Amino acid sequence: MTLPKNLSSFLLLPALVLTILSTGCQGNGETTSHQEFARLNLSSEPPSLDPRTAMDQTSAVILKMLFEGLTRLTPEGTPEPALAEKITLSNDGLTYTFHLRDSRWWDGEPVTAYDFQESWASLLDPAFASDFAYKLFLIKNGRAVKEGKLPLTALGVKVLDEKTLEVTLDHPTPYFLELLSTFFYFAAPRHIFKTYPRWAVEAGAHYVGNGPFKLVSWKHHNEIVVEKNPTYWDAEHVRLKGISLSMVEDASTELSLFEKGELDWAGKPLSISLPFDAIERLKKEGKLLTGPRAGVYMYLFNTLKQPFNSVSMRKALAYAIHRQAIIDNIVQTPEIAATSLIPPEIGFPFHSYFADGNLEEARQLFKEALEELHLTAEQLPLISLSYNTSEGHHKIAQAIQQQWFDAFGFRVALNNAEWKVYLDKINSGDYDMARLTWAAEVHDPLTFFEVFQQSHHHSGGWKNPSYDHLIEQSNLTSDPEERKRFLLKAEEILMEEMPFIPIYFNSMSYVKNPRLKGVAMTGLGNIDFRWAYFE
Amino acid sequence: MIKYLLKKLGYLVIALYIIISATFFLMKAIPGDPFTQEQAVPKEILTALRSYYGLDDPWYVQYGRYLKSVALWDLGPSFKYKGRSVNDIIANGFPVSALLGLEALALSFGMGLFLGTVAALKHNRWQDYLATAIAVLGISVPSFILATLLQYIFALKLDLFPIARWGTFAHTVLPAVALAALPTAFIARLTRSTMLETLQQDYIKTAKAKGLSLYQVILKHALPNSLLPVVAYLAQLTVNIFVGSFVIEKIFGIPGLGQWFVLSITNRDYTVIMGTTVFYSALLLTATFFVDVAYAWLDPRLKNISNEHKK
Repeated sequence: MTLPKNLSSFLLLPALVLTILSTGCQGNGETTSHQEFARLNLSSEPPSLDPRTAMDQTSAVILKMLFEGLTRLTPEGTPEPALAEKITLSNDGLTYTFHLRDSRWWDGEPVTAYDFQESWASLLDPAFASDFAYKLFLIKNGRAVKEGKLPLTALGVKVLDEKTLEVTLDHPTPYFLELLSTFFYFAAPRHIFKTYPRWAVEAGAHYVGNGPFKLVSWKHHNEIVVEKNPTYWDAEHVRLKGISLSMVEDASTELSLFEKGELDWAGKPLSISLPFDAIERLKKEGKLLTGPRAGVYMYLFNTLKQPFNSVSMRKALAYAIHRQAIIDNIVQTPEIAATSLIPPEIGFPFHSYFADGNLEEARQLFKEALEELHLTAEQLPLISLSYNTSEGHHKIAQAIQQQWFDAFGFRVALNNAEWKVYLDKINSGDYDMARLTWAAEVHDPLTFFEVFQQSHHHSGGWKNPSYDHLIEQSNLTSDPEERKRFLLKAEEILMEEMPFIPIYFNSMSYVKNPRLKGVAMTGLGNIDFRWAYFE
Repeated sequence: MIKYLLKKLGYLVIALYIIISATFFLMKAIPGDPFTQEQAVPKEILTALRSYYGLDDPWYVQYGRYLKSVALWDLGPSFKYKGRSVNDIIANGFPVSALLGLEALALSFGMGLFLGTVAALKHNRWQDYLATAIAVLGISVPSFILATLLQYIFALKLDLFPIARWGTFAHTVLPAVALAALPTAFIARLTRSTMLETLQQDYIKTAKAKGLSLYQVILKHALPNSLLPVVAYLAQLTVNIFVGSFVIEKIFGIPGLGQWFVLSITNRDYTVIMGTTVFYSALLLTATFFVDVAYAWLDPRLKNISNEHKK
């Protein structure tokens, strides 16, 4: 009996056959010789390939291949018109008019403004179950429609003609064009989803998209294969023959597959991460690649509890942490020590509000805090530091526990819990200090500021009317400079009050086949293979 | 006899009902629900989702609905994997796990019986020690270490088999071996001890005295009589191994059913938790039922009891 020697020969066979076929058809070896399948791995099955019900990174990666939004992020990270050919904005910054280019779904039906209108309307239908529907609350009356207070027709989306779409927003949103490039603003094919509600469950005749690649097969929990979509409006610039996406969850197995040459990519942002213990080796071998990730790793204070009702206490603990030591010795990838809220990747004016590991000032603040609270260090209640179960979070918490003890004999108990149990705890306010990572999905600082608004469930009980007011004002203005000023003011208040401890700004680590080029990645964790090619 | 079987069948249904109920209430007791997430999802969205999936109904309504869905074997949609039904998930995953399980089962029986027999025949000689050592290793080395080791040696270094994934027969070899290690060791030890006992029996001496060859003595007389306890272990082993292993499936990237037992709990995917648990229990209880039947048929003492009942 003969067995296939390894997986790559097995996997490459169809690719090889196809390459030969296409070369034969076109009779042009020059452009097709480099056309290959990229072999990627996702660490899980995509929970949904319907842009209206997806809500996670894995689905987002594939949806970017299968669909085209009104805009698409360029490799530099700025939105450019995609399905929309021309975009105009009214003076008040509220009404966008999109002129669609001629394009087709891959079953031949034209893509029209109705597709967008009806997709968004179906998503905001009160009877339609979708976790991410609130992302469309930016559209005028979106929230009221979803709540059933207004009819679907009241939604701020109008079809002027087949090719012209007018969208009115609730308030000026400078990052709206960037949001349009994310999957929750993609259109689902209206001629399909109305007739076949289960259209997106399997690959097949009913699964129709309009992106650079088309879905060829979907073996659940096993493999997805997409091929270049010849009906894509810009098909001439799609250089990959196709992409196979396997679903191996285990990080070590993924890396082994990569090292044996069966994958072209391992690590972020496609899968959860590279194996922790391989980072050092990959770095030494010069294979490790890194990039910034617009996220902040932080500890949230429960400001309703003693001693965190004291600003000085909160500041003392924040100043006493030596972040760089933690990054160098524990995290080992190029995270950035955070002494403010907004990651530099966002492009918001970057300030450092205090010095990392400022022990002297920390000790002084700690003393003041005790006086304020009329306590001695011994009388402090035992504080627990909560985080979700993970080796990395545990090691970081241990280091910080030690640093605080060394700085002023401050004791904390470490308390870990399984992810959903943990979320349930922090959502119900049952914690003293809790770990949180907050990441952006657009190049805009607002999402970080929103965490500390009174209405937010992660605000740690912290309330500041002037802070809330500044955020509201920033939402109302259509002048970007003024908006920036409001937000900077808000950041100042936040760092003065310190309802959280910023620890570091995230990074992403991965390894890739050096021949694979043109993969567009931004610090938002999205990755786009539209322009990718093999050298 | 019929009455005895009916009684056993009755027990089966009661046991299944208890398992279903216990799972339901334990599951509801875990903090968090399918829609708990890090992002700040507006309350109205969460309310809409909960009502769409019927999570805002009182517990007895949900419980009743659940019992009905199990009775009709229509286990409902997954909360996490939109549009996919639990029936679909089981129908996709079980054949994969079962195929892998079948290979592992065959492997562990072959290897286990062989090792056990050799160990018993060469009692207290090096063959015995070697077989025992293999058995101890098989029982004590965790499957994830064995799996990684197999990957390293046979896939990365020797390039004989694929590292991971699913598709051809070659893909099944390493996971089947990793899966078979524990039952192999168990069967080997079981066979060895019963075989040692059997070899002391008078009929073995008679068989030898008749002038039968060693081979015939073992195959015709000793082995069949040593098999009974192994067969008793078979039901549970078969079911356990057929529904797949979370660890092995994760490491080898296999789209089987085993991972769902864990995945569904981390996702709080209620319908999948219930569906997989019920499926597993039903399988296990059915297998146990058949063992009971086989015992009643094989063991004369049990037969007498049931006959007495009849009178």
